[in-house]
Amino acid sequence: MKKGYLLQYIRIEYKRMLSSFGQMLISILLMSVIIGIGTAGIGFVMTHLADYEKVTVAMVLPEGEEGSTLKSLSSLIQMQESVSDIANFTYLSEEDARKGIKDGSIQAAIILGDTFINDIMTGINTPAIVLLPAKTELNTDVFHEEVRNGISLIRTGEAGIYAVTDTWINGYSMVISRSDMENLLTDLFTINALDRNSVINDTSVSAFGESSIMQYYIASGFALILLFFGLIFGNMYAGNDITVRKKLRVNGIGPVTAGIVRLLVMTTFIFGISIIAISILMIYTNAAGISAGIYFETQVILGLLLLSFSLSGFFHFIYSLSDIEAQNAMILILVAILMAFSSGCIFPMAFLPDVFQKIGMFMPLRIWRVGISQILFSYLESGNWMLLLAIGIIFGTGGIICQIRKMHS
Amino acid sequence: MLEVRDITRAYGKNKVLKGISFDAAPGDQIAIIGRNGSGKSTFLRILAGIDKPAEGTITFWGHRADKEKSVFRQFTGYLPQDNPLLDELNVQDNISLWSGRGGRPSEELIREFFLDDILKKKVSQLSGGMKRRVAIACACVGNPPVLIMDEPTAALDIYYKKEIRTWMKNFRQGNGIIVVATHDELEMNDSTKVFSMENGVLTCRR
Repeated sequence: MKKGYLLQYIRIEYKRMLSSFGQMLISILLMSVIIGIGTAGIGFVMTHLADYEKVTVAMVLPEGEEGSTLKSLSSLIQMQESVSDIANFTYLSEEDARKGIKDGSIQAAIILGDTFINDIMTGINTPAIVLLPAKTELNTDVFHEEVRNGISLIRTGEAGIYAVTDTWINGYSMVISRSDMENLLTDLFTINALDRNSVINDTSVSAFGESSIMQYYIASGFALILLFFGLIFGNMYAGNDITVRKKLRVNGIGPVTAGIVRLLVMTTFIFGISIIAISILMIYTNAAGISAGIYFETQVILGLLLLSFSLSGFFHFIYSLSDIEAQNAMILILVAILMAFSSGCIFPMAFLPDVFQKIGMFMPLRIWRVGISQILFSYLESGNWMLLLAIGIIFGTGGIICQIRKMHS
Repeated sequence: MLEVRDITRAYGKNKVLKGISFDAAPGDQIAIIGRNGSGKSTFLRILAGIDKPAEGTITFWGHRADKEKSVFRQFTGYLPQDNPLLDELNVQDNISLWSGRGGRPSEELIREFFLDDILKKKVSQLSGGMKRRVAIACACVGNPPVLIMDEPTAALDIYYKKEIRTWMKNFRQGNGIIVVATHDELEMNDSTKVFSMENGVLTCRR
């Protein structure tokens, strides 16, 4: 085979691909925008699913020193994570609080009497008044439940302390005063109660793996866009291509050489698109002040090159299945849709039924999505290097075999 | 000198070519006629090196095609029945693909096939006759001594048919050999030898 033929063939294939890209540019851009918006939207919903709408609670406190003490105490209580996660406190008069509940601006109000602290210290259980709207939302019910749990905890502790002091007073002689005894027991109770929190060790396991939700859906959107970009390459395999290829074989460009050239053309094109897309993403996130953690490093460039090769092999296989362009495009679209749902690009795989999870584990799109996530946001693990390479080689070889069979048919 | 000996080809159990043999000298135009599906196109594809025979040999000026890989490329130009051009590219790019050279084709080729006005035009914008003219130009790139043409003037108007027939005459006068499968009576009349293909057997008519 003359070198000239090969070089001209490479040039021609690039030109065919660019011609197809030019014709489909608007459609491709529109599709990319739709996929980008779609994945961003799903990411936004997923992020805010975890959000809990806090209730606004009005604290109605007495005037004077007792009120100041109670305000300090309630501020301390509000700083607890279990409280601040579900409620915001505001300090109002009783009249304003009742008005707020009626018009819905306040979801609950706690009214503490003038002698609330003194009553507690002297063992008089003056109840706090909790005002709630007639019809409560879930978050108000949650807050109400938390208040009841908190009071129950305090009451239980209080009962325990009283039980001990009463036992000592009735059964034993006291060497310290009752109030000192109660203070000592309160301290001991508090220390032991707080210690109990170390019994539970919280560990978070996320359906999104080690990525944040934003990173997860950036990787998903990127993978989907690159997958649908494959529609551009259909033109390289279309029309009278088989007639031309049979003639080219006489000139030494057989299905193996032609396959390798096409893989080269597709790999370089996808790589170029990836670089442009990441550059746009970096500019946008910088301008919007979003910390996405994307940087251009050697491992990113190499990883994208490998990813591009992997995608190219897949496309070469799909387009080699049939000589009818429309049929191949349909196959690609159907496979892409199946993969999109089963590979965790739309909903994380942990949310999918078992069957889809099992199917999704073997889908190339899952491997590309994970690969992109690792390439952009951490580092590409050696296992995924091998998987990406294997997909490119296996599917690419499969495509070449299909082309050889067509030549001989 | 083209020598074809005992070419045989089968598709499964169906033998489509049975011991085809003939000779052709420079200046000859060999016409092969026959019904549709008689094996004419299959034979021409074998002659052009696109398909392989089950048995038999083809020799171009003493060079055995089954022994030397580059023989078909050196000695033949092939015009298939289907359109061999890439429609989305222009005429110049299509010619480059077959010449192995970029840029403007040789002036001789441009002059011979009147390509000057259409070099930068996309093939999809050309008429049927122009496409056929360009396809013949692509087959002639590299000046092959043997041209294999499968129904070169099918579906063309009489003006293009005349143009291509004139060109074929000039090619033969330049000591080229043409092997053409045809249904056209005028092409048959222009030929030095006429063979008919029936049931895979080639019979000489003239």
